[in-house]
Amino acid sequence: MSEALAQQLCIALIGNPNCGKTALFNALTGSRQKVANYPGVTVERKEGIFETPGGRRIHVLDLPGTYSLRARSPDEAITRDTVLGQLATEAAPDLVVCVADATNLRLTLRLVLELKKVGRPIVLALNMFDIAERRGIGIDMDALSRDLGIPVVSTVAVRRNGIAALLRQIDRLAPESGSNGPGGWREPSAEQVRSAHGDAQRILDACVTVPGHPDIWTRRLDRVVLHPVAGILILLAVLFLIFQAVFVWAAPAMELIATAFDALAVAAQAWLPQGMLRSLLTDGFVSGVGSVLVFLPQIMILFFFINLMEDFGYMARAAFLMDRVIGGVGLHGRAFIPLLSSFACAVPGIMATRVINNRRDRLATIMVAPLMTCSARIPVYTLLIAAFVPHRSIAGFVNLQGLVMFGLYAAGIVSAFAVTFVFRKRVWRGASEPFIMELPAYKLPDPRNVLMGVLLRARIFLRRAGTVILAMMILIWFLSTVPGAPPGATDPAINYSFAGMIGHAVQPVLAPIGFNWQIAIALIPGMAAREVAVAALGTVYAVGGGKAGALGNTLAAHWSLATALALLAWYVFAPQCAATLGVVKRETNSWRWPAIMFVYMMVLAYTAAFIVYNVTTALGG
Amino acid sequence: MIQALVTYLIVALAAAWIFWSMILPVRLRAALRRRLGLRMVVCGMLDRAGGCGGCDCQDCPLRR
Repeated sequence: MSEALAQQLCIALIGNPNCGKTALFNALTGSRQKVANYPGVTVERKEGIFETPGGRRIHVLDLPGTYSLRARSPDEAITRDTVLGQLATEAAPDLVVCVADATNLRLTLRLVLELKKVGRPIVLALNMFDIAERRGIGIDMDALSRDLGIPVVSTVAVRRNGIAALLRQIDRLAPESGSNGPGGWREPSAEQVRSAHGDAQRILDACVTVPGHPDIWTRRLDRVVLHPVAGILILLAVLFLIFQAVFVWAAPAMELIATAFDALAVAAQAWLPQGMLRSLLTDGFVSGVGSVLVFLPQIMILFFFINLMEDFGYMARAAFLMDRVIGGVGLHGRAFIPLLSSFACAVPGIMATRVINNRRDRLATIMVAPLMTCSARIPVYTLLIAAFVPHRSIAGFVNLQGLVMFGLYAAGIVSAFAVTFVFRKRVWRGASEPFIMELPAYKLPDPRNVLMGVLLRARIFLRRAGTVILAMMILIWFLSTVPGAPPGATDPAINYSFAGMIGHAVQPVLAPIGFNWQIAIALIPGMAAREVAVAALGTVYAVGGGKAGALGNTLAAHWSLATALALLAWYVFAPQCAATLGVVKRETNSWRWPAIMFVYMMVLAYTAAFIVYNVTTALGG
Repeated sequence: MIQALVTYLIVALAAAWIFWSMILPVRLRAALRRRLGLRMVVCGMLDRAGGCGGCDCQDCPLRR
């Protein structure tokens, strides 16, 4: 630990899942960590720094949600170890801020009673106080503070309400210097747990009044949305509409970005004389990085809808609906949230499996998480769909390209279920534990939160384009250009380049699935990140004499439909992401599981591409 | 001539960046940063609870 950190006072935010700890963390530190209206968003502790009105510099930890210090899953263990000061690398917190969902205090009160046994100063922050007031829940804060023996403040973290009062209490309670030893908590007996339940209920009865018919709208909506048949149909319809919107709404913005890159290529050709730098700019930057950047609008639209559903509280309902489906193939109901996170990126999805207590259930989820369609696949899918699937409607309103995209997402989900089924039958036999999840109340989405989520995804995408993809494209351009064609050569110069040599060497292995040597080149840097393959294709075809910019048209002219469909099938399964394999190794603490994952996904990818290519070719595609 | 020189410089920089941030193992990179006296981000959880630094997750303290 650094000296600077050692001198700061440390506070920890702790509370039940989905009570708004990360929203409070953001409000205190000005950070922009992801918040959502479902439990299990934070599985790692996050740290930040802020200054109180009293001028004290505070180091704040945002911990994964827990109902008790008796940790049952890896994320809960992080919280317990941090609060008790059991980490060798980090001092225990000087003060604990227990964050409570003001609309549902019972479980938090039990946690507060447990935390008091640790022996550190505690402040109770009743978060989402506005929703509790709207529902007519009355909380006597003075009585609550008296009964618990700790200060109580009300907050609405997403609007920064109540933060000043919380900071005053932190200033008042935090010790002058870090004097925090290990906590005095011991695992309670069953009798002690029952007694704590009784105490919590007694305090609740004395301090909280709940109206007769709580939250009528949530109950009415849930009656439809959670219906076993209508609920599933609504979920499918929502997902279908999202993919339609991704294709239809994004088109004008994509056109604009493509035109801007075309103009950049024309300008580079006009300003720079013929030479290497001009080729690097037009073939490497414009054709490579530009061919990936055009997909930014689609990614932003997709995450706009995902953030909207998360904030509204619909994602937790989707988890509840899917429990029956995913339970049928042997996945634990809690696997839904990690799998959902994997639609953005498999890495946080795999880390989110820490919410699953049972090791077999957790491993099964980790092994199939990369089959969910991550955002890095979007550029590959949309490029090939736009180039090979006609832009027309079916039955007057269904966009065919959107339908194919929906089908690819569905293929990822179905294959994940099939693989889980096989794993659970062959490797991890035995029943899963039952799924218990608290459904959050519906909330009107906070536009700032939704916008922040979309901008975060856009920033991640642009940062990757400006770092990994740009650096890779410069290297691919170099390998595609050097050495030049020998005197008297008749083939395009790229055939004599290092990239050409590598592509031609690998191509025989990929020939049975219809991949040419240009695809072979693109798949190698695509191991770093899937979307790099699109940029690599842009550069390779531009260096080979294609028109800068219009990669889709170039591919349509050079590839058969069978090759394009085989590449789509390949990308549904291929384990082409080094970061994912790395995080599987970390989370399982073994190279065995990433190795098994790599092999099984590669076999699936090759087999699927082989079948798709040969069937399409036989049908005349 | 100048065009070629600038181009090779850009390619060398890109190759060095790829080697440093993608090929070099995290532990070795961290050790090198310490030796070079560069600012290190304290991450108590890195060894026991993940954070690979090469992804989109935004959870890894090495990215901040």
